[in-house]
Amino acid sequence: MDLLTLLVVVPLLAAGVLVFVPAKAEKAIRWTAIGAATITLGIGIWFFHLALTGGEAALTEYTASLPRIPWVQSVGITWAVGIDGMSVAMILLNSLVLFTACMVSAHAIQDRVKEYFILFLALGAGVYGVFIVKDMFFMYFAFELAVVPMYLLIGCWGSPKDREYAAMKLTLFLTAGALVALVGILLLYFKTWDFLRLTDPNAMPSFHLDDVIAAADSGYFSSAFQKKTFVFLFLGFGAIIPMWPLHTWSPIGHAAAPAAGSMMHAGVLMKLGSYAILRVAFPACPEGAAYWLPWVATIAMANIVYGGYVAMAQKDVKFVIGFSSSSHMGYTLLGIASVTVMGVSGAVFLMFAHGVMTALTFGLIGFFYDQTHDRYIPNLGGLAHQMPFVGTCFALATMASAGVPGFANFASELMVMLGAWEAGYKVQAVIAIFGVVITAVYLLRALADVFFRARKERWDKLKDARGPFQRSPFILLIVVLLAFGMYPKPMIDIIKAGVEPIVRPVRRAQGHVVDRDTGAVDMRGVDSGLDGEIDTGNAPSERGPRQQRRREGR
Amino acid sequence: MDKLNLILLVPELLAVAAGIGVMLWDLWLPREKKIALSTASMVAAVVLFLSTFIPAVAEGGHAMGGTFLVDGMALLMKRAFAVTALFVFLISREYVEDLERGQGEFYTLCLLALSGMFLCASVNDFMSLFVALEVVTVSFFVLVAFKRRSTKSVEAGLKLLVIGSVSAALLLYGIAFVYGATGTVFFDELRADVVAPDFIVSTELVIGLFLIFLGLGFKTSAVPMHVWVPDVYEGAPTPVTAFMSVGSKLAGFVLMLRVLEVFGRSAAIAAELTPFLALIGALTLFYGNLGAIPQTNIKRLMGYSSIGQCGYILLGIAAAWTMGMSGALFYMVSYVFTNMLVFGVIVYVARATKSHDLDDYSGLARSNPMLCAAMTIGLLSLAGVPPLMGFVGKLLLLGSAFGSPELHWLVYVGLINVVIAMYYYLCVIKRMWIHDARSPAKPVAPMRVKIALGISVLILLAGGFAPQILEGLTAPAAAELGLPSRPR
Repeated sequence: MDLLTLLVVVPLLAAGVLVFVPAKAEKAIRWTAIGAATITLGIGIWFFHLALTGGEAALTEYTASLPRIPWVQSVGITWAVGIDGMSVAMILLNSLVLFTACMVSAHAIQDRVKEYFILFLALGAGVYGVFIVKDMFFMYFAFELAVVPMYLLIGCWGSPKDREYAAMKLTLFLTAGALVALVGILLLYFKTWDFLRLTDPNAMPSFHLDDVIAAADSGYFSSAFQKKTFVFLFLGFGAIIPMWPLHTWSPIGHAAAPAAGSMMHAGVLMKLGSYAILRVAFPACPEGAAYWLPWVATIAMANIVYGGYVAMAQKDVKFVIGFSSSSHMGYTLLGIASVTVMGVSGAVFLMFAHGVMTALTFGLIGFFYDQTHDRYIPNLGGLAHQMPFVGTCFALATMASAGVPGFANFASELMVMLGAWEAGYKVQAVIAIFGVVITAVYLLRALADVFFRARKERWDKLKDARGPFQRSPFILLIVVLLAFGMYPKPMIDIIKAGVEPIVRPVRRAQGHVVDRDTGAVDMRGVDSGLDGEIDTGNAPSERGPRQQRRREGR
Repeated sequence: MDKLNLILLVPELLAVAAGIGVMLWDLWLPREKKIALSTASMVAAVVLFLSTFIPAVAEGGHAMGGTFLVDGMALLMKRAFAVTALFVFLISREYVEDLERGQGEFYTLCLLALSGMFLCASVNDFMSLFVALEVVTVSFFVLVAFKRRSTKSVEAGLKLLVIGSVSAALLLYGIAFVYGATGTVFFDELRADVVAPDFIVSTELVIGLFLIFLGLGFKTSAVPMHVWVPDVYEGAPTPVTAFMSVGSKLAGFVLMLRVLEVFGRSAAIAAELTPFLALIGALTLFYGNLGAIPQTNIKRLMGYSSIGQCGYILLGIAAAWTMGMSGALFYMVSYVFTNMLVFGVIVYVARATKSHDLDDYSGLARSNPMLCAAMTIGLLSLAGVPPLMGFVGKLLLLGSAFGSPELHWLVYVGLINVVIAMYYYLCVIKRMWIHDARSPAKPVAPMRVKIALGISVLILLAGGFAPQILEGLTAPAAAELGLPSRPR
């Protein structure tokens, strides 16, 4: 079994083992879960190392060495996994968040430990699944595998006040989103089958992305079809991002979830939507993307500004961070909508940075909430007196979130804005920059109101994070944020190389859309920052070499 | 073709023999030893299951002068029916033991109903179709009203009888129309006739087929023949509800598939049937799933859920191509394990709490997490959530309907209903895991049921992670049916 498949199998296997461990052996259960998370963290780091040393070529080679295992042949489902620069970043993110969330829940969860970790590991496996598979059936499969455990995680271990409502809302929204995306997937599936039958009348259908992309590259998908399909894919996956106005499930879901649940939810679950848009919708419907993305850039503004303003008005610290997350996802959307290598890489890098940062934030909030059982900001205050370590970490996380240079978030947001400016979304870029100011306002205010100001005696019994077991997850996340913030180049290079082939067809389609008469294609930004290493191609007709490469890559 | 070929009928004959054998043995057994009948019935179910593997039977072919057909679908469904019956006997043992009288009759009727289901899988002409269907229905008239002192049970039996008779009349009327239009009731002749170039699709034939599907819709609980479902499910003894919700329903579906297979070969007939079935499917989906939301009784909830589930299978039937047939068969097999799993839990929870209120399930996960986990997995599979078997079936059905552009609206209806269904199944799950306990009862299932539930859970997981195992059985069976291998 290859290492990528192991990412899914290890957590699932650990969950399966836990079913047979007696519920009283809580210590064994915790260590099994942490062990599984550590193994996947090791695999995540190994792939990052591979990408670091070998570049995109090594990843392509690794993907090519993996077999396509037929799963349900008559329907065209295959177990096919693959990795590129974008998935490396996401896998590393998930392995970091899963590991730290396991560490955090190891001491935070005392009730029904066995059930908790079984569900938690299933959730982790589902998320890994989405990031590695190249088959649209399994992408949907893995996504739903992640959603349902989340329902019970929030429902059983969340904060009692709003957990039932939040869990139900989150599950129904995510399921509905996934089903809308499924319509898009089925549209692609049947159209691809038609395409495959052109060459071989008895061809079997296929859910494999490579087949879909081959059909898209050959120009078989008509412009109208692409525009229609893109809407389904984008609305479906967009609800998961969460894109305004489909975001309402998200802040309340953050607020009600237990600490580790929020970490996974905000850290990685929210990244699945934008990942899937880039992975499926961009290469399969480039003309649809080119047609709709200007609207997306506008919606991104709604995310940034509206999310930011609503966050300002919140009195519950988890809601502040929850709305801040949907505000930050606006930058991701803006980066995606820019369709420049710079902007989209920035969006992916921001997904990584935001995931780490928000996992840190929710881990810290969970840490003090477990003791205070209160998240109402006016009731808190001066917590830094009792918990200096947690306060310091929270201050660092706030700075990262507000885009202070030196943290990965700054680098990625800067890339997004540069990309948006380059793509001609100048107004949006300017608004986005002001969005940073809004972010700074509500985050610094929350930080000050919760951790600073006068000492309150009612919180004197609170205990700070003690010992390496409690502190290490937070330290690990801060180190990652700082390391990739101080020296972002390796990560950016990895992501750029992975993003470039995803962005190129859409750029081409944009040229196609803009200049249908002259046939001139606007290639600005396609090769930016890549020193011309990669064959850019310059006209819709020149699709041969790329297709050939992909065929060989199977 | 004209030969009697009785060897093919071994499973049916054995089922009848087992039914009569149990009835006779019951006469000799003293009251305190009647429990042996339960064991005998379980053994009979296993033997019946194995009897479908006898080489001469498994090979398939025609019997009884061409009125009896064993093909891939028939074999697969007979095995599914035998497994269903085994489950019913496993979960009804305590229930029947508590009956004052009629223990033998209970098992006899179940086995006779099973023989009717076997026949349903194999019918090859309209006359056998009607007889086979009535064997099942009549057995259930009695089984549903088995609790003679309970008004609800008797009322349920009466309701079933009245609506069952109406639907039987519709079915017969339809058969008469088809006979009038084509001059034959034999499926083999019809299969050849409908694809003949000079075949004219007359209005009488189409009306006849509509009436036949309505009549069969009574068994499968399709709108508008669904009205009996919630009341009868609630009133019937729980093991009977379980048997009815799976066995009787699938018997209706296997007949629907058979009729569709015969007439759907002709594109002209399929073009008439598809919009009709699609409309029924859409109404059934909405009725079942919306109706389930306000229910406070788990058996009524499962009744509405069963109406909703019927709608999904109708999607595949309306699509009328190989993937839809394969999806329908896949879904039906997965439905056996899923629904039996859920009813297995319901039976034992009800034994502890003496009622079927949804409130009984509040906080159950604290006192019996394993039983709740099994129920949760069953409900999630019904909701169609990966990685469970129900998901793959649902995807095949939705996918098959999505193949034809004129059925896209139906897929959207199906998807909306997935979300609605998710809601009410999650409401039950929510009670079990999140709410605090309301009743002090601590349900326990006996070891044999625990094992059966455990195996079902494993099958549901295996069917989700490795659907190719079951799909490898349903796809050839569906391909054999002679419908187009591509969307219309």
